[in-house]
Amino acid sequence: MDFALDERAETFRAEVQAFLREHLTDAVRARVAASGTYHDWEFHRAVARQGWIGAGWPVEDGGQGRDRADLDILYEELAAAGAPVEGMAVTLIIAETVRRVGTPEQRERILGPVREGRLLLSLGYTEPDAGSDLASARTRAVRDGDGWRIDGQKNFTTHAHEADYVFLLARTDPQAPKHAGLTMFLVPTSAEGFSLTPVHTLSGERTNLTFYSGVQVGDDARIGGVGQGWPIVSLALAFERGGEFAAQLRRLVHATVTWAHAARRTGDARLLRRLGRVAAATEVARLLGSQATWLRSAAQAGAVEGAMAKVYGTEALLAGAGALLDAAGPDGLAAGPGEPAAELQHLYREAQISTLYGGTSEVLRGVIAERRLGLPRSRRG
Amino acid sequence: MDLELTPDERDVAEAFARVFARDSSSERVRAAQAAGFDPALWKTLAGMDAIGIAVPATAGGSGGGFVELALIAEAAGRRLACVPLIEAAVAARLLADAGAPADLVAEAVSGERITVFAPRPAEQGVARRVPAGSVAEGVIALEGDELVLVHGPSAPGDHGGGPGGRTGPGRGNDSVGPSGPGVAAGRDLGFQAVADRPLRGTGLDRHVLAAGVQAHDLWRRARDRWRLGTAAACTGLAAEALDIAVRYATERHQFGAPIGSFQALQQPLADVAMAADGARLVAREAAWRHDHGLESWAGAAAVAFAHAAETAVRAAELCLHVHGGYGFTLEYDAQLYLRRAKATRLSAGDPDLLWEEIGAATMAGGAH
Repeated sequence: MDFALDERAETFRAEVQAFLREHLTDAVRARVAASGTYHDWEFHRAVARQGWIGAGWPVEDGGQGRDRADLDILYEELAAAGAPVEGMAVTLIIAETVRRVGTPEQRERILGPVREGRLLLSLGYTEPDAGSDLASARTRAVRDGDGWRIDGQKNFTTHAHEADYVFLLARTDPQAPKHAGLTMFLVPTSAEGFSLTPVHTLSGERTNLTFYSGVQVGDDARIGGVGQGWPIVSLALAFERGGEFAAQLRRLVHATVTWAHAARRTGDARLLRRLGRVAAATEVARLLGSQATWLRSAAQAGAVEGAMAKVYGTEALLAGAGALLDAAGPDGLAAGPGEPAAELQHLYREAQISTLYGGTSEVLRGVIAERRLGLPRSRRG
Repeated sequence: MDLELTPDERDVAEAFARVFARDSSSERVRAAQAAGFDPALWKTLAGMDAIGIAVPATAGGSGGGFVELALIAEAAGRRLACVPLIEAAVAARLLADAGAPADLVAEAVSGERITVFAPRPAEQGVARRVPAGSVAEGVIALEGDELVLVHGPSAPGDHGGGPGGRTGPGRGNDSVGPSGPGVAAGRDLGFQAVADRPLRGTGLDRHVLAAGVQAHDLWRRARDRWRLGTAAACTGLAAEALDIAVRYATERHQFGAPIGSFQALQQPLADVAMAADGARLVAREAAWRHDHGLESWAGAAAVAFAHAAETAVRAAELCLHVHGGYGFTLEYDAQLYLRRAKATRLSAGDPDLLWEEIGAATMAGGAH
């Protein structure tokens, strides 16, 4: 048993922190706050110049061949600083999938520009009627000559308004069983018949509804085999990471300490009890994330442990942000931009979505119950 | 980072897991619960050098560390061992650290004279509610500005007597079976031989181990080590309570299906699984930091105890609940886990005060 932090990896952490001090400027933060888009091209390109987009890819694919420990540090520090990297994170999940299952032509077309920070990808999984039941997708892709014609709509296609492609889950065989009739496509947002409408959210983040009306794509837009949509979605889920949940809790601790000093509440026993719980949860979430990373590095799956880190971290964030905002009282709710309590309120708002995206807590607890605890499969559709 | 146990660590964990499975079975625990102490198990552990595991070899111990103690404690917690393993191991190390006479250290390490650490400071000359207080000969406590070792006239094995021994119902009564009214409802919720121990008075042999700042420093370090070891015990307890609950939920059928297939039970069981995994990780990491001489170990031990103790209670309560009405009966083991978990958590005092302490340390340290 060895909990030692890798010295080399900690040097990398310092490098990331120095980068953030230089590039995560007030101007970037102001742009993100104004647009509600957690992606900023200037910042994104600065990250790309470091070679950190696709840093985990092997050198022959243009990456830096960094290991999971480094990648965890990178994402953890970006998240702890509140950097606008949601676009990048989603892009990488998709690019990693393309790297694994794409054709040479697709890899050529996508990976280089992604790495250089010139190409952004967006997830088109869920639909207005699908929610967490992704496999019930009804968006259709029908053979049309050499290519496909796509009709339907997708919900929560976040930052599609900045993206070049939507990674689209479409039904290609309505006769096949639910999970078997699905196929993945990379649909260009410049295609005729593609449109979107913004959807505004509680945290100020903007997302989109996207519409596909007779969108024509070539067969080269198909990622993986026909009918392979579900295995590919499952594969992509494994690329989501664990370290950022503890980082969000760190942000909450930092915001609370900053606010408490400004409000002269540092000795308030009720506040300290709540803060103590969040501080402890931060450590637990960090170690659950490390456990998932370690299992993955040791090639022992780790997908269920990743889900555990996600549910634990985000549920602790939700409970902790609520309890600490309670401590700030009505003043916390009235805090405007730049005021010390504003960050607390913002994290409380953001926490509401954290237990929903990337698998709701309820869905993931079901996965943990079955795969980790070995409980009998629950009755569901 | 490598979360795999080393071969040596695995040997320790497996050897003690076997011992506790054999010598701290449900039957043995039930037989020992009236006294809160199992003398035969104590002898076995002493024979395996478990009590001096964290005492340097130069001071007569086994020269291991708190990682080993944590692994043993996990195994003990799983089986609700009725022995003051942590209290005695911490006391033995404290005696060595305080430079106590070699014979006192040796007696503590060998387990011949049960010597335990009182995890809370004494009040008005009495160490209150000391785990193993009714069976220990020696108690180490912080009394004002003095760290004292007080030997009382209690003879090992004389569970009914001893200084300040309990006068509660069922004392010395080993007739508590599944159907007995027993001490389950008595004063020692966690069957840990809890008792008050006066630190002054006739017939008491009082040694001052340290005074002033040194006394407080030694005591605080021992208290943090007690938290660490007890956190590990809570981790084992939580894991076993969860396993018992999962087994029952898999076997028990209601409404034509195993109850473990119901989402309403799967969800809280999954929550406890996450908390229990997290508890094991924070407790092990705190022990690892301790053994590697990292300053942060004490803060980590506080976090580990706060989280693991809460998780143990949560796991045990859920375990009882999953068993339905049966879990409430003395016949099932769920009540044993619940009692031990709750008592262990409260042996450190009001849990809110610990959260407050952790919060104050966080506030003082800024964001980390």
